[in-house]
Amino acid sequence: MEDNYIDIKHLSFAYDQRRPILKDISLTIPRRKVVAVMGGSGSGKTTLLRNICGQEKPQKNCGAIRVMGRDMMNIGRNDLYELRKKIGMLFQFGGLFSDMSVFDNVAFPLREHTQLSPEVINDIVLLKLQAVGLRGSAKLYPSELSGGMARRVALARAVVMDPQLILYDEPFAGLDPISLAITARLIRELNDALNATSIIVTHDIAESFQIVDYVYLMWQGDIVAQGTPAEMENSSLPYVRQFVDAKTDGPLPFHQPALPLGEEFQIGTALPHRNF
Amino acid sequence: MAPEVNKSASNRRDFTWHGAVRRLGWPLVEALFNIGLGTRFALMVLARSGLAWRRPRLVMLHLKHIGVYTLVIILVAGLFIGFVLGLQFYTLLERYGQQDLLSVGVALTLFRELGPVAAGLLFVGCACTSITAAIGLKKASEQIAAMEVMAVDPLARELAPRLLAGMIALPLLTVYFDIVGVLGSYLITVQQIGLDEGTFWAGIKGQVGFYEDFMQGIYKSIFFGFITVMIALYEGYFCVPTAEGVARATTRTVIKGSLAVLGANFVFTAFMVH
Repeated sequence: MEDNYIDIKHLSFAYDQRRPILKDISLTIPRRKVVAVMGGSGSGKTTLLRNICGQEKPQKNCGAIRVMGRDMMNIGRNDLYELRKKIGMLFQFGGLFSDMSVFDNVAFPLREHTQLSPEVINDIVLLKLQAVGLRGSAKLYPSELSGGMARRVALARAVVMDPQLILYDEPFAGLDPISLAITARLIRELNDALNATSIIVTHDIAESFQIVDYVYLMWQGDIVAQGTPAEMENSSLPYVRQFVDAKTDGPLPFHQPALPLGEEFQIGTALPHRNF
Repeated sequence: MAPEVNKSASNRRDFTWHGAVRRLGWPLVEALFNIGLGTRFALMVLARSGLAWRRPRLVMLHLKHIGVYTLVIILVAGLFIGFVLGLQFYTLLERYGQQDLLSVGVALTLFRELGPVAAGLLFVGCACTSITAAIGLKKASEQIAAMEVMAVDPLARELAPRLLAGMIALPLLTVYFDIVGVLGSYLITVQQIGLDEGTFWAGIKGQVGFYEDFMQGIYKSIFFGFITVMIALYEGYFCVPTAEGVARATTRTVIKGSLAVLGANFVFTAFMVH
């Protein structure tokens, strides 16, 4: 098995050709590491994750993605499904099946992909729910859970198959401080126990810097900085300093590209002559 | 200060002749694209329908959802339509002294045309809308995406069982509609107006064929079940994943489904008559 579990070279991606989401990104993620992909809203973090697990496929000649040695640009449907059996993903909004109980949600991948007996599935599911502190809520439905609880159930479901690669999309959003600390610790422990590789897309600097091995900082589809948490904390790069210190002024603009404010409001133009 | 962008030239209206051709041609291209996409989608779901039998519990669950929950409206509507048919046929046939043929007229109308069409239209309004909404909401809340990432094919797991359930449910509902419609006609003409009970049932027994009349409607309803559920699945699966998008998809399901039932019924009848 090659050392770089995920290898992305010169990846560009756009849903709409006029608005590129990822711009010539190159990154590598070694095996058994926990890597954070950080950046502001709309910087392309989730799109990057979707490209890694094959939910989105870039156009040809827009770079290369290799995941666990597989070329994701030319992978067939059956091979992709085989690969995905080794991948667990925590969705930004949980993605729990609304017509199933918490127990059935977590048991779903086991029932679909294994021939385990109901008794064994029962034990595995209860253990995973115990790990996220929701064994007592096994019979509840997603509509009866809070946002934070739903995310913890989704976490249990993401790891129930003991995947080799775990993708977390905003795992800390909406969690109370206790759940946040436990979830962060759980992500690290799971990664180490399973010898897995984890990618965390997050905004939460304090919590993620404690558990990750490496950080990529993205801005508007580009990787603007990278390094270990210690390197990022001590970095003098203006991008990093602004993000880590949460400064309002700096090279990372708060505003999305737009017309100048004066032109938008048509200041200085008399009403009858406005060009609608 | 926000970064500046240039005003896009594409936002301006193009009044040249090739602009006009583009505006006229685009809906045609879009329609052809949708037909191609819909056909490919239908073939993909059909290809997975055999696999759906590996999950008989799922098929039964959807059969319950889209069949049993539609049954009440089918029964009530069938009864009232039977009442009305009985009254109208009685009014018409009384003029010519041919009331003996009333039950035959009611049964043939129900079995051949009204049963499958009315049951199909009610099925679209009741079951197909719920299918579109369910699939659309699953898409909007990332449930379909989650299934795909877990290496579970949503076409096989979610869509194919619904298609099979719809193709089983609608013929059964049509049978119920036919039976209740004839009973409604019986109640209004025999029990209320006083037509002879023996003549009523003998007319149906003697003049209405099982294969050439009754089964004609059942064959139609199997096809209506396929086409309406397929439209519902397509609209749900390809809807814009927002509340507004799901609402619009549900409306499109009713429009396309109803028109498909009426149009297909005409084609079927034309073929069967000849």
